[in-house]
Amino acid sequence: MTYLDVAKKDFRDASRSRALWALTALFVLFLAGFAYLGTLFLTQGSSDPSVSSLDFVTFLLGPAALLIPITGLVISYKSIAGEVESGSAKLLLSLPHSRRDTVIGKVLGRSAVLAVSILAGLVLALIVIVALYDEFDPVVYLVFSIFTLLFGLVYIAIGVGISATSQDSGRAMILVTGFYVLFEIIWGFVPNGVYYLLNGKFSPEYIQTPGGGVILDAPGWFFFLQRLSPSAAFNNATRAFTDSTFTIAPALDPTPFYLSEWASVAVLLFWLLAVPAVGTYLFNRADL
Amino acid sequence: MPAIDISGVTKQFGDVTALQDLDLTVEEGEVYGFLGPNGAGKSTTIDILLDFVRPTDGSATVLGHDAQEESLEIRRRTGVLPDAFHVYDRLTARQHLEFAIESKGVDDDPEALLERVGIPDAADRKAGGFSKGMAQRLVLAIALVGDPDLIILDEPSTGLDPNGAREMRNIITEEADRGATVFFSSHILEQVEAVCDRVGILQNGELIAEDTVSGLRQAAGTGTKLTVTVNGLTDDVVAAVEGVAGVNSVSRDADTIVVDAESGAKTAILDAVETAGGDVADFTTTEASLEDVFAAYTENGGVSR
Repeated sequence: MTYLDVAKKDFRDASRSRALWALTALFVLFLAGFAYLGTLFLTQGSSDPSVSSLDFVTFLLGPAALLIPITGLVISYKSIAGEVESGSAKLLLSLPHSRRDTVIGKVLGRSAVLAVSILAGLVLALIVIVALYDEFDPVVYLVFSIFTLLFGLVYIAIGVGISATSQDSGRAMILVTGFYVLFEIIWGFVPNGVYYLLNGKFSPEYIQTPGGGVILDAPGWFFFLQRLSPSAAFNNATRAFTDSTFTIAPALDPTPFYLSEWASVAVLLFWLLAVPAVGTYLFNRADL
Repeated sequence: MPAIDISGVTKQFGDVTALQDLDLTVEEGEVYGFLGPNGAGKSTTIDILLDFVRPTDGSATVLGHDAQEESLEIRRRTGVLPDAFHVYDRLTARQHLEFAIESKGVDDDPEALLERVGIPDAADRKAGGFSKGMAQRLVLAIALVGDPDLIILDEPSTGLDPNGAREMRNIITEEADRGATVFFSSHILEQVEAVCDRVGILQNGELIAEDTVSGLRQAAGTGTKLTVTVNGLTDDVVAAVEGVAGVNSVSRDADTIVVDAESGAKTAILDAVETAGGDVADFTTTEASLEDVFAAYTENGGVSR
């Protein structure tokens, strides 16, 4: 069990990179900037002039679900493939580190890098929120922070796992791009595609609720498929844990267990473990 | 128990056979030179010992442990200077050593190690700015961490100047004196000749010869090479030299003859030149270098070992 040595080395190495500081600046600007913008946009055209940290979380989920996967993959895709390609993996693996410990250590080291940046942004956003927002709910903000960090960890794990399957960083980049396109862009159409095959039309009906809202009258599996992508799971879990009025599928009452907030946590944990597990499996069998 | 025991190892990369039924044993405490041209399979052999690469067939044990099943135990007790490595550009020399020291769970002093390989002033410099020779010294220091029982050096003198290469040899000797087994590959023959107890020659994935340096010389039949510049060189002189006992071959180039002979025949050859009417203007002797031995093996299809 030497993954902590690998993680420490990796963090030391990465934390001397200018890219880390650029990344930190990006997250500070992003989170604190959005917190400030929130005070301008969230009250516009609304009859309720107060802004709360819950508004901020809802406001930020979409952009966070875009920014974190991309930065996570950028930080991690070269972590192993790049070392194998350059030859520094020969130094690393001449020392008594198993390949599994190498993968785990890389996940921890690169996650620490991303976490430093995200935390810096979260702290500054917190200051802005406390100063400018009318309502501040520390629990909401804490839950949002935890899920944001977890989501970052998930994407680092995905990137490192994919990196472990490749011997050169060009291939690793193609694979992480492929993962992103498949699960964050194309995946959005998959439930509709399956729906089409079953029902001969692409989209379920929207129906009016007695309260005047509009909800999607789709079967449970439709929502389940939608929420299998990492960012959808992150989005869903964060909203469900921060906003007690949020329900995924109001047409389905009660909400089936596989659409619960815990199911989304399970989906995140699945991605966190599955991709590095596949990566380790292939890395273990590879000739370097 | 041998330090390295490779038995029947074959390695194929697709259609290419890198190693063919290789058997090789290195005894504990031995300094073993592993010679061969580039592409002969030296690095593949080392990669198998370190479990970077898995054999298609056969097995290897290192320090009594199976190279595939118990690689971690092997790497805990082995120091490695790999071929074609790359340092971590953003880490200092000290941080590289700290990583190795922590990874091996020992408490060596990074400063002392850097002192030993001759780059004490580079401790706090980032390795990305190192020359090839400095990087080579740094990784040698990493290989020495924890006084390993086995030291594997793949082309250790790459990028070193003659001075650095000599310091490398001294360190190898010191480590051998401490009791470590040293296995190193090279295509630079003086390196091997100066420090090795035994030498193996690898060509096209097969071990074509294995012996002591002097044993190999004898086996290949190359003794002393005598180059004589003669004033008034005639065919009679050449014929006279060819007739001397112990002379293997004579070649003539303008007023110079090159004689391949047993080492004891020098005086007799010079006498023969004078007797036949030649006037010796100059002569030099060269002990057959391992390069000649190597050429004798690799060009003539090898001598059975």
